[in-house]
Formats: sequence, C-alpha cells, structure tokens
Amino acid sequence: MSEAGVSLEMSKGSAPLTPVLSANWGDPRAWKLVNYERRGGYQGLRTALAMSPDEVISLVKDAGLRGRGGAGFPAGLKWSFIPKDNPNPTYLVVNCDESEPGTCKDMPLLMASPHTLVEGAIIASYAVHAKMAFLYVRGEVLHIIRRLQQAVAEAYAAGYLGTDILGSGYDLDIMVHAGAGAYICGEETALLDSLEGRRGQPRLRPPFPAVAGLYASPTVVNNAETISSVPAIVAHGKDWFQAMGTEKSAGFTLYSLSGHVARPGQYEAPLGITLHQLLDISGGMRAGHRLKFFTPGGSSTPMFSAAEIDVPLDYESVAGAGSIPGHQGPAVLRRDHLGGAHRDPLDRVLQARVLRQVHPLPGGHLVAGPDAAQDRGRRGGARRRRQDARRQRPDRRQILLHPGRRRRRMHPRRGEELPGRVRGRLPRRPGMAAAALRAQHGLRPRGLPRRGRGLLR
Amino acid sequence: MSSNSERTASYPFSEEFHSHFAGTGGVDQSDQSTAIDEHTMEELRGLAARYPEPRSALLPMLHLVQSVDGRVSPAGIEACARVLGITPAQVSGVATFYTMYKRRPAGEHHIGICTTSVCAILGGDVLLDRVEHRLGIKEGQTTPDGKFSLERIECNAACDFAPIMMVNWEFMDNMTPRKADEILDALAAGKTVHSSRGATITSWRDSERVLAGFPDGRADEGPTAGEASLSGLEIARQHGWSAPGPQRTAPDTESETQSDSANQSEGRSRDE
Repeated sequence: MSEAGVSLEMSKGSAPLTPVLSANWGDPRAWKLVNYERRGGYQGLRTALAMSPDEVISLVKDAGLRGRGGAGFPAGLKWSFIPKDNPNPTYLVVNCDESEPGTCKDMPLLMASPHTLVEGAIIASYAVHAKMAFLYVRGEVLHIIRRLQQAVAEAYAAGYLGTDILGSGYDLDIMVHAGAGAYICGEETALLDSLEGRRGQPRLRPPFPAVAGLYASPTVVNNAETISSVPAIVAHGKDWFQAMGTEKSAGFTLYSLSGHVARPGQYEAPLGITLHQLLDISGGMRAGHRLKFFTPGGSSTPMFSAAEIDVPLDYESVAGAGSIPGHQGPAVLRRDHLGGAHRDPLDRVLQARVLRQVHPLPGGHLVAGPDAAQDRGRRGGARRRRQDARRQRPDRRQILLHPGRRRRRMHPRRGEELPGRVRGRLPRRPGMAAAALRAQHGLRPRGLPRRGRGLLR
Repeated sequence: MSSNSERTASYPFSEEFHSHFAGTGGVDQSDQSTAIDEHTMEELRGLAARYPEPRSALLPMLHLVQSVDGRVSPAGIEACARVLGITPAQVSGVATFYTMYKRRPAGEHHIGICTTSVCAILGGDVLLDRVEHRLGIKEGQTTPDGKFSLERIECNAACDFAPIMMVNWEFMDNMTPRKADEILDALAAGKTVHSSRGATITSWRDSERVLAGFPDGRADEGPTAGEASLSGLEIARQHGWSAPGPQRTAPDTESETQSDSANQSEGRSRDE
C-alpha cells in the first residue's frame, strides 16, 4: 500500500496517529497506580471533583465524545438523560464485554492501563450521581480481570474510591464483575440482565436503561473506551479534544488492524482516518496478499470491499457508505476469503446457538446467517450456493440478530390467540409482528425473561 | 425440544462438558459428588453480600462452584439456590446459558482455541485439528486422565494476535501448531509455562477462583502490553506524532520513557 502514497493529512491538521489512551502502554508496569500517577493520572478526577456534576456532563457533551461501543451515541447526552427525581439509586455500568469478532481494543487498554478506566468510571459516576459502579468484564480474559481487580484495590487504598473521595464528600464503590461467556452480553440490556444474575438476554426498549436499567434503577451503560476517554477530556478540555477527528466525530479512538496485514495491532488515531491511511502507516498488506474485503467495525457490521478503502472511518462516513462503525476494528481479509472460509466462522458466532437470543430492535430484524438447514444445503448443492449468492447475505447483515430456528418461538403458537382484535396488515416479519403485538397488549415477549419484581420474588 | 436431534447431530460427543448447548441437556445429575463444604458456603454467602441485590452474585458464585468441584455440580446448584433464596431450576437456567460453565469435569488445564473469523483465516482451524490430534480428544471433551479439556471458542478479543489459544483463560498469542505442541508437552510434563500476555499457568480451577472475585495477587506478572498492541505507539514515536496541544504526556515524557525501558529493573524497584 505504501507505494500508493496516500496523503496522511488529517481533516483538522492533527497528526495521523494520536496516542492518548495508548500513550503509556510502552511504559514498564504501566498498570500500577504509581506509574499512572507519574503520567499525570487522576489529575482529571481532581479537576472533575472541583466542578459540579452538571458541569462535567456539559463538558463531555460539548467536547462531542461519542460512544465507542458501536452505536456512537453522544456520551454526555446519555448521561443527561438520567432523571434527577427518581428515588432509586443511579448506577454506572461499564461494558468491558468486548467480544465482537475483529474488535480487540478494550482488552489491551485494560491490561496495560486499567487505572484509565477506573479514573474515567469515577468521573462518570460523579457526573451522574452514582454511588455504585460495575465494571462488567467478559470472563474469558483472566489477566485483564486480575489487573482491574488490583487497580480498583489500589484506588481504594489511595482514597480515590470509598467514602469522601479526595475530601469532596462524594462516595463511590466500584466492583469488577466477571461474566461467564456469552457474546450477547455485549448488548447493553443483555449485560444488565447478566449482571442481575440472569440469562443474558436483551430487553425490549423502552424503557431505556437511563430510566429503568440495573435493578430497574436509572443506569448509564457505556463502553470501556468511552469511559476511558473521559479523564483526558476533563484534564485537557473540549478544545483539545475537538482538535482531533472530524466535525461530528470528534477525538481519537483505537483502531485495531487484524487479518492479512503486515503489522496487526492497535493504532490510536483521530476519527476519520481511512483504511488506506492506516495501511499506509502500518506497512500495508502481508506480502503476497491483496485487499479484497474488510469489516469496518467488527463482523456484525456490513462489509466493505477494497473500493471503499478511502471511506473515512468515522461515524457519519461509515454509516453513509452503508455500514456501521462498530468498534473501529477493521479486520482485513485476503481477496479469496469472503466466499468460503471467512463467512462460515463469522456466521457461526451469529448463529442462534451461540448468540442464544432473539432480539427485537427498532431497526428491524436481521438475518445474520443461514439456519442449519440452509447451511447443510449450501455445503451440499450448487443450487443452494446460487440462491445464497443471489441473496447477498453480507449486505443483509444490518443488525445483530439471528432468528434462525427460534424465529417461530416469537410467533404466536398454533391455536394461541393474542388478546384483543388485531386489525390491519401484519408486518412482514412474523417475529417483529408477534413482539409488537405482545408489547402492545402488555405481554412479555416469548423467549425473554421476566424482569424486575416478577417471578422470582 | 424439536431441535434437539439436529444439535446433537452437530455435537455428537457424549462426554461433552459443555452445558450451554440445548442438545447436551442441563446440569449433569448422574454425578452427585461434591467438595463443597461449610467454608465454601461461607464464601458463597460472602459473594452474595457484596452486591446491592444478592442475585447479582450468581455468576461469580457459579465460578466458585466450578473452582471447587471442577464443574457445575448438582450440589453447587443447590448451594447457590439456598444462599440466594431462589429455586435450583432458576440457578440451572442461568448455569446452562453461559459457555464458561461446564456440566462435566473440565481438565486440569482447559484449552480454548479460537476459530472465529480472523483466527480462522490465519489458521485457527488447523490449530484446532492439531491440538485435537495431539490430545486424542475432540472439542468439548476431556482427556481420560483429566489433564486437558478442549473447547472451540468464539472471538476472544485478541484478533491482532491471531490465531490465539487460551490456556485456563490466559492468552497464548500468535500460535502455530508447533508452539501449541510445545506448550501442551510442557504442561503435560508439569513444567512451568508462561502466558504470552498474562501470568504463569497454574490450573483452570485456580483461574475460576479469580473469576469468582477472589484475587490471587498475580496481577503484576506478565508484560504491560503485547507487541501488536504497541504497533501504533511505536510508529507514532518514530515519526514524532502525538496528540495536539496540552496533554498529559508532558515534554520530558519521551526521555523518561526511554530511560524507563532501559532501566526496567530499576523502575520495578521504584514501584514497589
């Protein structure tokens, strides 16, 4: 790629790579509190505690920090949705359940510099008046959990956690909670169910977590990288943050290159860098390989072909080009892979038995992969292959969902009548229809657990 | 369940330890043995007390059950249910949902091999074949001597180190079949094995105990970051690229970092 000589100029004139979160990863024992503090760590917390919680929210809102977990929702705005008059306690839940294939940004961050997240979590909790925060980490990453457990313990010992933090009168407890292996728990409402000690299945929204989240209390759920970006914003201000990125996607983020690239790894860059630029910086494709496809943000996002190599990888541009930015993890694939080897492993993750869910979403259902019968057929017959090609499945991968065989379970059972009379034409997808109808009539959707003070009390 | 036959067909191994596939049923009731004693019960109650609502502790409690019994045992289910005041059926409902809970005893060392997209195109399936061959078991099984169990895992968030193998949930990065063989040989011989980004390998049960929320004090083992994690940072350093304006990496950072790497041992003594 480097011979192509792509321009490395960023839209706001910043450097092509801007290590902020990753700046201390090269330090020996960067995970220790003393080394983090030597880098200026916990200065952001001191600054934040001198401000009012509302000022912190405005600062993050004005800086334009958007969620790094995939959806790109403005973080400050999300925090401002927390109702002030709700008598229940507010919770902060940090989503460290990174498991989308192709994304691997949070784990190196939490391993090298867990205090960045802990500091961010304290600031965010302060902003939303939370007295308790949970760091939900997937269970399969033992050493990262060790580092986080230790970082939290160090923060308690140093007075950054517990009662009357740094003499501010603010109290906060943080718990590191290990999951137990469920891809779907990366979805925020499934994560909340899991944290409540249930099967991790997504909830219907509304109500949104900001109103009724963990224990039916107001809850902010943010991705680990989002929360980790907060201390730097508080310490250096919104202008500093906005000097990077694009107009609507401000700041920096961790881009993860993987697949058939010469130098896979983490590249912290301003939002809006292109894959072309990333490849140019990192040394291009592996010798003997030519780029054919890439997923701009994990395997559940629609794929890009080599023609889209110059699409800026920010929220607007990626969405405009027909994909989802996801976790900023371009996984680069060799030219001959989409047809065969690549697609199956992708689908396997999205299959019902792995995903274990049926997930009604406002954007509609999506068929992420073939059901088992089709799968067998495709291996067996040319006719099925042609049908599959016609269906262009990669392009239909709009939202994470694999109804598969369970689709029928959302459908009214034979002989079962929904209460009330149903008029008009039913929506095309039976799952959505049933879910919508059941919701309309105040019924719990099939296959989803009761929540709150239901069956269990 | 109507779909059972199909699922069983794709996972035809009767000795499977997974609990999460409907085709393999729920918690294994045929083996009622347990090592849960009053001390474990005390720890289970302690976990429940850590959370605003006790039931939140269920996932950690099941991890603890596994660290004691080597699987989710019927007695462990009963114990969790008793501590939380819910029914055993509710506990099994949760236990059978998550892939890390095993219905049959996992091995002393639990091997996971990722065959999801990026690992797959870089050889994850070859690696899995090789390890299956080497251990003489299929994915989802435990060796007869109880030393190893093997699982095909989905993306473990280390795509830049693909293909990866997990040993007791510690990372083994950039694997090749030969490296995997060496690691398995060393483990079988009881030699010390280090994770490439983690601590020294002990056992799966020890790992489960940490996941339950009982730290083992070994967070300081292993490197700060793997080589791939530092790719971007190194390139930025070579070109003198950094974030603009006032930033926390003050002017003297560069030299400080360099001297740090040069005097790593000195840095360590300062930290303590």
